[in-house]
Amino acid sequence: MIVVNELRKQFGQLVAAEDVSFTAKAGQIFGLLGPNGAGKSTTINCIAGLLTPTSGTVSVKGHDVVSDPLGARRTLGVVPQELALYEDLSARENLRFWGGAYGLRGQQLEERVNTVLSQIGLQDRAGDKPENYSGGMKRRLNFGCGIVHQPDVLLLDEPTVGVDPQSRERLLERVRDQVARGACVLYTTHYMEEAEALCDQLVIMDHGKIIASGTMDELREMMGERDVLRVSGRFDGQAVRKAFDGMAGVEVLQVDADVVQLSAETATRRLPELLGALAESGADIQETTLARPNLESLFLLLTGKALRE
Amino acid sequence: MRLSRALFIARKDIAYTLKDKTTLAWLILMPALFFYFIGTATGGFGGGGSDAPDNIAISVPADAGFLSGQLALRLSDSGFNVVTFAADNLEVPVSGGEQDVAFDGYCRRLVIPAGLTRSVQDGDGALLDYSTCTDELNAQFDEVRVQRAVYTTLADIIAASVAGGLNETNIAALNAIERVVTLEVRPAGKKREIPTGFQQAVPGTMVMFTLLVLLTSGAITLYLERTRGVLRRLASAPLSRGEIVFGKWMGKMFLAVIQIGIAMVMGSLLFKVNWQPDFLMIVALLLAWAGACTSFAIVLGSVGRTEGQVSGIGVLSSMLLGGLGGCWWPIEIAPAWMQQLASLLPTGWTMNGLHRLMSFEAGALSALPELMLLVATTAIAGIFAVKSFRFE
Repeated sequence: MIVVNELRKQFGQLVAAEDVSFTAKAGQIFGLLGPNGAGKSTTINCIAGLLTPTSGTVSVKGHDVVSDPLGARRTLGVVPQELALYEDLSARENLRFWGGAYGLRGQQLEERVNTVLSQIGLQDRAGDKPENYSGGMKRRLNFGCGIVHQPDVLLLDEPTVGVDPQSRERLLERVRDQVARGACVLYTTHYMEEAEALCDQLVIMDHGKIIASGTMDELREMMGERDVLRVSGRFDGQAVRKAFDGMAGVEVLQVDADVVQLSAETATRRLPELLGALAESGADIQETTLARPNLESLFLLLTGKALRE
Repeated sequence: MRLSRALFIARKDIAYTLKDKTTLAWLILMPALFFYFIGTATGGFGGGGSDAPDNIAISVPADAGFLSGQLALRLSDSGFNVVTFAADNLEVPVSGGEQDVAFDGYCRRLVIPAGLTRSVQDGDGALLDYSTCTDELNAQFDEVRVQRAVYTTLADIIAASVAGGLNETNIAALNAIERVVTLEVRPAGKKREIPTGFQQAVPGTMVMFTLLVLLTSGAITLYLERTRGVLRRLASAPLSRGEIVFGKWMGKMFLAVIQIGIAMVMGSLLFKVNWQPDFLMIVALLLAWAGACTSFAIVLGSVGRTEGQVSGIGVLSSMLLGGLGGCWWPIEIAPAWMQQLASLLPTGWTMNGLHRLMSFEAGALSALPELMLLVATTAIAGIFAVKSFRFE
């Protein structure tokens, strides 16, 4: 459905996306994960036809976004990160507008509007203006405007930012509904838990480049059979690195003044050894957490920095 | 580009804009208030309309004698509607005019001195006091007509004296003789009555408010759509850039047309403004003006950085262009430098064209230069609008 091939986008001297290639298929949630400025939005904007690639190609359902932009956009539904709604129009009127923009008219439009209002749980507030909605309700309406025309390809750019857990879960359910009817969903987020729970395929981006890609299991395999030990307290960075330098099967992921993260094989059994090394480095240990590797620790392993930085 | 898709955008745009109660107030209520207050303050229904009477009030002392009657006759011959007051009662006219309008209520006033006839018969001079409140151009024309009446009376005096003496009988005999040669004084070319009252306030306010509404409501809605990400989202819909830009342009144009339509209907029904005889040319001129305002609004809504900036520039430039272009007062009464400046401004072109068509009755083609200038402005500003249109 979406084929991105060696995409490069440059703004003056700044390379926002470089050598980005991936394929997202129908019936699949494809996640684009990375911190702010990683190149996710640039990539999604190139797919949506809002930016013209400097080089490389992007096609949506066989339509090249540069040579056949209208063909590509007809198959797309876009849910932007910002609440792109008409504040002075009711939820129903907003849905009518966006449905109309994608060519829906008359009875078909009204049916879709009613269906979507029901799906996003706003049928009782359909006549209210978004300015009177909670943040979560606005997010749901923002999402609804992107699916009112039942797109084959849905681009979701951080759709759950600032949403309460209940609304988030409701939104994610609606995303799964789209996949269930055969749509291809491209989902950008910097919430790793969300990506882990939702995405079938993932691409992790940093500084405009893809640094890892695959299914969640494939990405976990990149970490090997390692656990992640997170220790908080007070640390001397140099002394910590020296303490673990040359220790087999241990990698220092992060060292800050108040937190250290280690990736270690069979960390459960080696806990006394690891904490002992830390204590010898002069650390004041206050709390420890041992966890299975996740996207956060993978990102730390690959880039040396936290995903949320 | 498909027109139906652009029309869809335009329809939604105008529907969205008209949802705003402030816009509705500026569209309907405020122009009506401005029409009323400015129009009333500058002459009301009597201002510059073709029905305005050519009244002149004369104050006649009881001992003025028969020459005061002769002078009144000659004033009447000069095209004035003479309203006579007794000098000792200037509240109610003796003849002509309205009973409830006093001598001071007339713009043109002539005071005849006491003992006029006796002074002339004795060979002494007599001083007539003429005053007027009409604008400079009309005052000059009135002065010529008053002078003509006075000179004709002098000629009557000489003729009567030669014929046997200056007395009432000889003057009456003189009046009975059919004149072989008559001098008719009237303005050359078409009527050139500088509009005042509602005849100036309604078109002037309409022109200024069209610009004001477009540069505030029109530009601000575009600015908000841009900054809230709506235009960006729209750009990802299956609509071409041309369809979106043209649709937005048409939406704003509808707003301008609504403003002009409301003002014209209100002007006709409530303020007796006469849009004839060149109604179609007036409509063409106003549509060209609406097009220019629309293009300005698109540019402002696209380049504005904050809502306050868009609103501030919109209000300030509308007021400035309105004032300098002759929307608040007829530019014909303004100093020469202001008239020259107005001739460089689109508001000035519009008002100049409207004055020619509505007040000077100079014919439809007389406003063609202004129409062409406005069409060119619309086109040039439209190109800027297309170039500057931003989706984010």
